[in-house]
Amino acid sequence: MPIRTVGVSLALILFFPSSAGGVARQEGPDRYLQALELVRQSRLEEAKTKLLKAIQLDTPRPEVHNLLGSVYDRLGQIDDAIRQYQRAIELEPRAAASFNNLGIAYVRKKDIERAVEAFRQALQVDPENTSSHYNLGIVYLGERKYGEAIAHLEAARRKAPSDVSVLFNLAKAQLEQGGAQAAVTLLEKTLPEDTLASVPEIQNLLGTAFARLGQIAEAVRHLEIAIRLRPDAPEPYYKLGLVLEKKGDWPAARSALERAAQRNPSPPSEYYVALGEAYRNLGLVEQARSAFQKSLAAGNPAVGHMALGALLLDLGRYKEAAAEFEWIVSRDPASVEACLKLAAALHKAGNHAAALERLRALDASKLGNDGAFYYQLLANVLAKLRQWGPALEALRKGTEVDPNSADLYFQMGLIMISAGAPRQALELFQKVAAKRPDSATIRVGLGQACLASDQLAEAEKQLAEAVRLSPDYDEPYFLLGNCYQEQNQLEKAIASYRKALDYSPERAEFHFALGLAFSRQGNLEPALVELRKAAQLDPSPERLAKLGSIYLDKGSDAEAEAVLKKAVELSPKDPQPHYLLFRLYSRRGDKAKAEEEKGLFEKLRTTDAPRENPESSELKPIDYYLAYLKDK
Amino acid sequence: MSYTLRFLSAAGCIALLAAGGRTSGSGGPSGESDIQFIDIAAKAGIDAVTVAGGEKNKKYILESTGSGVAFIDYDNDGLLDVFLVNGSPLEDSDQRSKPTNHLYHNEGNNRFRDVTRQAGLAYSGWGQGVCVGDFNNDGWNDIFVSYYGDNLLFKNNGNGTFTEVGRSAGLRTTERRWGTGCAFLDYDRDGFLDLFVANYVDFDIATAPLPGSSATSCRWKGIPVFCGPRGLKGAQNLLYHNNGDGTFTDVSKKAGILHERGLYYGLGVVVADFDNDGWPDIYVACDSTPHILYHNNTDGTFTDIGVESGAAFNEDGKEQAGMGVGVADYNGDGFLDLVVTNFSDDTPTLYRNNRDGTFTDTSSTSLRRWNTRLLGWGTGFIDYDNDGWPDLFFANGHIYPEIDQYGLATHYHQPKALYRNLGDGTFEDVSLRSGPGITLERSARGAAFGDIDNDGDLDILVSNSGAPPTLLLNRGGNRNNWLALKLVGTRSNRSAIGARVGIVCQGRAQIDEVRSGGSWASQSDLRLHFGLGGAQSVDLVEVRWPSGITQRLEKIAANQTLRITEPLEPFKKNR
Repeated sequence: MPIRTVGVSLALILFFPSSAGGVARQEGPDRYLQALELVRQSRLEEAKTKLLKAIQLDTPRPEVHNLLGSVYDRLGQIDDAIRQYQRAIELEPRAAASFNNLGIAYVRKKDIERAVEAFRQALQVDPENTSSHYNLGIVYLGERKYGEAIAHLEAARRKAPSDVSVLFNLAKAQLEQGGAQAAVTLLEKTLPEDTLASVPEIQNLLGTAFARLGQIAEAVRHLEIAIRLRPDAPEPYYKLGLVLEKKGDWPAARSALERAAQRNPSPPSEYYVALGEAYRNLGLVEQARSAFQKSLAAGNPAVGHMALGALLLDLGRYKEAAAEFEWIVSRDPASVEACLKLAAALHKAGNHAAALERLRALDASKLGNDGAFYYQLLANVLAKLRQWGPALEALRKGTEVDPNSADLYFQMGLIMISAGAPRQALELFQKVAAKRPDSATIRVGLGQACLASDQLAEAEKQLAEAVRLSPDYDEPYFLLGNCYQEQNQLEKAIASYRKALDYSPERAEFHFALGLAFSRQGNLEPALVELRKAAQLDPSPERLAKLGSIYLDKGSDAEAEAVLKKAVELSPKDPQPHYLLFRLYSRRGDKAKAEEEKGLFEKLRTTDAPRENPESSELKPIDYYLAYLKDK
Repeated sequence: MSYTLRFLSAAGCIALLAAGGRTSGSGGPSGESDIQFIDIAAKAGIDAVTVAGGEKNKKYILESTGSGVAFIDYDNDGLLDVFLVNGSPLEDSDQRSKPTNHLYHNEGNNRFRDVTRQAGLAYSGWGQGVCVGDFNNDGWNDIFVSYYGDNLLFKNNGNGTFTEVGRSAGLRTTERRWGTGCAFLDYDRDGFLDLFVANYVDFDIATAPLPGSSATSCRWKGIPVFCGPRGLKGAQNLLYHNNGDGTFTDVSKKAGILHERGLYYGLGVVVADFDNDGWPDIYVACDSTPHILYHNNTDGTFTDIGVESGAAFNEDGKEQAGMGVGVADYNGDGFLDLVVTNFSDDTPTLYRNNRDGTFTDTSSTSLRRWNTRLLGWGTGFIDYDNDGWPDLFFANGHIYPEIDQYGLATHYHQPKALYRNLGDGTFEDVSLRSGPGITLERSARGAAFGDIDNDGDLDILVSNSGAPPTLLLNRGGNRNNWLALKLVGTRSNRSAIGARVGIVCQGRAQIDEVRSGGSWASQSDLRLHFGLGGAQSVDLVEVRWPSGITQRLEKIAANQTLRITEPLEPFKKNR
């Protein structure tokens, strides 16, 4: 909880109304004033003794109880503190300071509800109480209720317009609410130059704000100032690392994040996760894995499991990835991100039914920004289960959440193509294109639907239009390559795939298609180079099996065996790799293994594929799916 | 110099190949081919339309498979005659206007005369496949026609007429079947031709689903088309044993032809001795299901070794839409290889025999740049240029006429394809430079091969759905030398079906077998044809008769049709 305790401690003393005037009668030496002096000297035990004596011997005075509460608070005896504040309030129900202090004590006990209640009572007594506004602002900031935080911090700011803490936290709340520019303006316009330049927290915040604004250079500049001002502080390094990751400068990010971790005796999980991301992007998979694993024991294991899961997903180890996400979901069933990723991992692992179950357990109406992604994933899963109608229905709901998403309409069309309805896809894309004539994605969809409908000339035309609309878009070149392959124009296809790879050298499907084109030309060596690359980038069972098949043809049995085993590991229910292994072992004369693989192949081959339920296959008229498509 | 061909082992052939290499003067793979195929069907008088349901729209899968064709010298005059199987319109029509099968007599000079009615062959129905063989060893080749419905066996009376004897021969079944590819074979080598019939789908027009019956099923590329075969019941194949008295017995169960489990849609059939053990094996190309390779166990039974042999699926282990099937030793290693035609968006599958009972799909490297818009039916290895290397012919045509309304890149009518064997295990597409008969677009189905004008090169007969057939006359193929062999069995079946012939010419060995059936539902010339390149003679001809005896002939002059009769039995054994 980011309450600034120094400020609050001062507040609880300075804002107590009776401490200034003194309404209670005094008997003997004023033990209260003596205790107050002892508190100022941080002689807390002596102050406590003095105050207990006063309570025992003197007439009850609320400020005595209030001060004793404060002493208990500083001694860490929060329950005793609360009792004293409550006694003070009994004695003087209009003591805003006691309510305020009580609120702080509840904050320390993490009883936010009571804390908020106490601060609110303080404000009822004294609506202009700057401390209570401030404290309430801080509590709401911690609760991610940024609108309320801003309202109270603004109220505090009205009373204390140049208070650095108030301005800093107000800017922080604005930043968190999405007002990065407002935060920057607030800090830069209201704080003097020297304050701005000398407070590392402010530089840190400015760096974060500029990062959010996408002004990476400015972000780096401020974070470097923050580091210069407080070189031992880990947070600016951490933030700098995050900014550099955003910039894609992975070596520099790695360096900053390693320093952040070194400067923090017990780095939080987030540090390790960010560091792991840097390693992962530098291709240092083992270091990444190690960093993510360290994050598991660093306070917030959920972020570590999330990162590990994502890494394993990338590595094609879908089942292990699912186990990581499952860890989070079993502890926090409300974690939307983990639930979605778990479903995605299960889907990738081929366990579509389980993925569907996970997705159906989520309340789609509460997903907010994740809604469109949720519906896309749900549609993919349903499509794998050959439930075309429900898959399209999911996407339709997705368009209700995000009516401007070309991706959702694109996926809708692709599902229609998979459902064996490319002409419906064509109609859909034509209608969307009429309203989104400048969408290259929709043109690509049109091209793809034409390809699937065997209208190659029209496909070429639409894909050329997509290139014109978005010359840097890789997909049209790829599909043009497919178009040329269909027409046996292998040289043109190869040129087109190469163009696509110029834009996206890491797209596995592009390498795969290029490899197949070389293979059809009879150029096995370049074909192998491309297919290997494809399998390395995304080791899908299909790609591995094709690679294995070509190795087999070449007589490279060892390589064939390795990739085919990997394919089996990734997709144990796929019969194809077993067939290829059967051929391999037969050729090698290993009868036992050949027989085993043949048995597996035949068993899996005859296992029922998901049956198409006619009711799930019925498509509605195209306009139904376009209900939320509006003129742009 | 004397040669020996060892049929039972590949070693002899390989040794010969290594010593001799390619024949010289064959025109060579790099030489310009000016061989042209010209369609002479109309001029020759072959004009009967092959009917197969609707031609603009097809409601049921039954209308899609078309019919086979046959080359048969039914009157033993040395000229190949033409037999056309016919289908039926979907709607009932009166008996007189119903399409029938057709027999065309070869009058010489590339002229044919329709003799159907006088030959007694004017039968109607949903005819599919045809195969030829002398089932009663009377010296006259008989005709078997498979149907959706009752199959028919036409006994050649030896006087230009035929008598349908299916019922009396025991070939009628009580169940409704959809017979497709067929072949006569002597599977037990008892000297009498047995019969194998593939069956496609357990189909009932009364209950068959209609085109586009849902938004997504029974559609092709989104276009509503007839349903099947996926979603329909498969069918069992049939093996009939020839009892030697003009009758047959269904031995399918006893012989291990029936599949206890699994789904099969049988179409093309070819019989060959794939493992060189002297016994005929049976290969069935299946649509959308694994192909079947019935290995002859030599004891009257068969075992399906399709999967074990690698000839059931393509190289990736995926089932294809097998239609027609051809067989030859395309790489000259002494073992017979296979080719299977498939659906569009796929390639034909070339299975190289590995000489150890297994096959490898070499299509991706051997048949490069295949036009995947083509949907293949009839096929065969045919040494059209007589260079001694079997080339590949494909008859193509789509099954959905509806697609032509939609401006697709794929069309119902398609050109044929001709791939030239380059002698290195690969083939080159020569379709565009092989004459207008090859590029002629039709919805072709069956294809048969034979030398109709006896000029020394192989001609091609193709059936077309909804149109008269195409008769492709080979012009120029006889610039290289050749040898044709007509085999007559004595101890073996009279048609010599199953006889293995090997020749050695200029150090190179070639093999082939006398074969009934094959391609898509069709019958090619029972005479064997070998291209000899520039060689003027053949050093050795060796025949391994189904009876088991081997006969050798040396120093045979090129460019002739040689009749070889199996040596008579010294003693007659009791059967």
